[in-house]
Amino acid sequence: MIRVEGLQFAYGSRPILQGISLEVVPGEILTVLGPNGCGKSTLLKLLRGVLTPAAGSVRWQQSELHRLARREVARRIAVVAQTAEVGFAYTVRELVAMGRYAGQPLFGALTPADRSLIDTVLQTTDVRHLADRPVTALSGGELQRVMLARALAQQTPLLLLDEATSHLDLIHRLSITELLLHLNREKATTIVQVSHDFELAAEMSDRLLLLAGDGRVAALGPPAEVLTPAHLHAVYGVEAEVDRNPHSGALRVYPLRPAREDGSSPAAGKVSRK
Amino acid sequence: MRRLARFWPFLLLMLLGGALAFSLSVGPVPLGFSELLAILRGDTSDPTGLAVVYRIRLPRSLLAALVGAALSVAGAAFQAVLRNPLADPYILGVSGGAALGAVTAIWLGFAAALLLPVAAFVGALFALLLVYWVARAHRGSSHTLILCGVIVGSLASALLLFLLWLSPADQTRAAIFWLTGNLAFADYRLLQWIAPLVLVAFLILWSASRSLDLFTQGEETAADLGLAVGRARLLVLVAAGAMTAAVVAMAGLIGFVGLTVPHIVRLLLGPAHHRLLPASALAGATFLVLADALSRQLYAPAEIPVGVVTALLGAPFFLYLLRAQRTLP
Repeated sequence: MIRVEGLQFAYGSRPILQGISLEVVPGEILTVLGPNGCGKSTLLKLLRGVLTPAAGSVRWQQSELHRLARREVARRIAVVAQTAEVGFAYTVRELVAMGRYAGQPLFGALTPADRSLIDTVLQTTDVRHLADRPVTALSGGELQRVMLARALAQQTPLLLLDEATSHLDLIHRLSITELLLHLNREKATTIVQVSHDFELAAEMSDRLLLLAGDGRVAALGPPAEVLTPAHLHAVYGVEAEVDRNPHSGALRVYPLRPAREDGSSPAAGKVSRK
Repeated sequence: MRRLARFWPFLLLMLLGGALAFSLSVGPVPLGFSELLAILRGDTSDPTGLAVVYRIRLPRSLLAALVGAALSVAGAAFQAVLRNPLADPYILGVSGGAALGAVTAIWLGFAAALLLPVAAFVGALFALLLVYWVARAHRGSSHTLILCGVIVGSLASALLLFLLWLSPADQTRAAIFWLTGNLAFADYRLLQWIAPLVLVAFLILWSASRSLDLFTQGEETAADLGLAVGRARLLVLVAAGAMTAAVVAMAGLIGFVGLTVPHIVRLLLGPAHHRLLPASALAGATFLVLADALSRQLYAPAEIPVGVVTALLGAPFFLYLLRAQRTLP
């Protein structure tokens, strides 16, 4: 679907991403993990051609993504960001209709097909009852659902989520996760997301990509192979234990304490758990 | 309030018609409604009435309508593309450039009817292009554009003050008369040139309604939704800028219309630009026609500067709406 080869990127002279190669496989859920500032969001921007690689390439089939017209990209890739700007009081329906921009002729209006599609995604994301409310009057959880509805209205095979649920409370995070899993299973929507939640990522993803602080790939593969104490120590500088929930079999990560260069534990009595 | 959504074109056209009728009937020679109707239908042989309406009041009212419409539409477009509620048509240095152009012309002694607007127009476009050219080096983000606009505006006012300081007193008065904005120089010849320009710019912006909608979501989101941000922004800036430059050249710097009218319309009809732009045009036209009529009437035969009236009329209404709605537009 997207093939990344030898990707380098820098803001000015500060390197952000180095030597990244990976392929996004159709139908998978791939979650990007890594410490703050390691370039996760930057990688997502490169994947949708908003930024231009300093070296290497990011291709959709034969085309380099940053050279594709934005309309072409928006027909292939939809994005949900961490926070949305809602300075202007559009109704939920109007906002979701913006997702049809790339699919419409430049000066055309919404067709009946567009309208019924918009109804469908409002239903899917469970915000149909809010359709005529101004988006400025929504709660954070409702707003992220609306943003997801707009992304779905683009009808793209690939969905990029940049910490789309990380500032939501537990119930909203879980319900959006459930929705994403449903889309992935029923519609074979490919999902690439950035997250900070190890356990949820491990639970829902086919593969994890762990980025190190210097912007290199630390590990890429199935969750159990990526979330190991050795990787967490190397990338986050923490000592951690990983085991499985005896009931569900889900991976569980216990960060214990910051690791020290010499391997001993500082102030072990204060931060360690029993 | 959203129930207005169906009736607004009808309602706004009625209001504009009423404002125009009011504006045509007030003045040193008061005309009753029936007299006015007779004159407009051509059923009269009263030469004074004909002259007052067709030579004096109609061009002035049409100019007020055109200026009000253009400033409001340009204000709505700038607010969307810069994503800044405080943006007005003058924010990117257009006002400073126009003023400098006009005052330069006055200073050089070209106060003759047609040269002043041309100089103002050239100055406005020059300022806008300078702002765009500098901001382009930073990918033309809205912050950079606004910052450049402020700096170019300050530069223009500094040069302007210097020119005024150099000028003899009578020229200074002429310049200040122009700077505070006035509709007294209305003239069919000028209207013939400016009206089509404003109309074309309006149609360009109206056809870009959906781009403007996307701009309100932030440039990055707009790009993710499929908008070619750079090209769309240039189109909007040029269309809205040229529109502003054209009317500023005719009527000087009339404040408050371009800032307030789009906000008021947005509060009443929502922010979707396919509705906001034509509704702002009609509302802005109505507003400035009324303001002009009042500015002529309140202390007749003296005229209050129309900018004072626009602020006195608009600000309290705007504050009331803000208070009543409890959410920012």
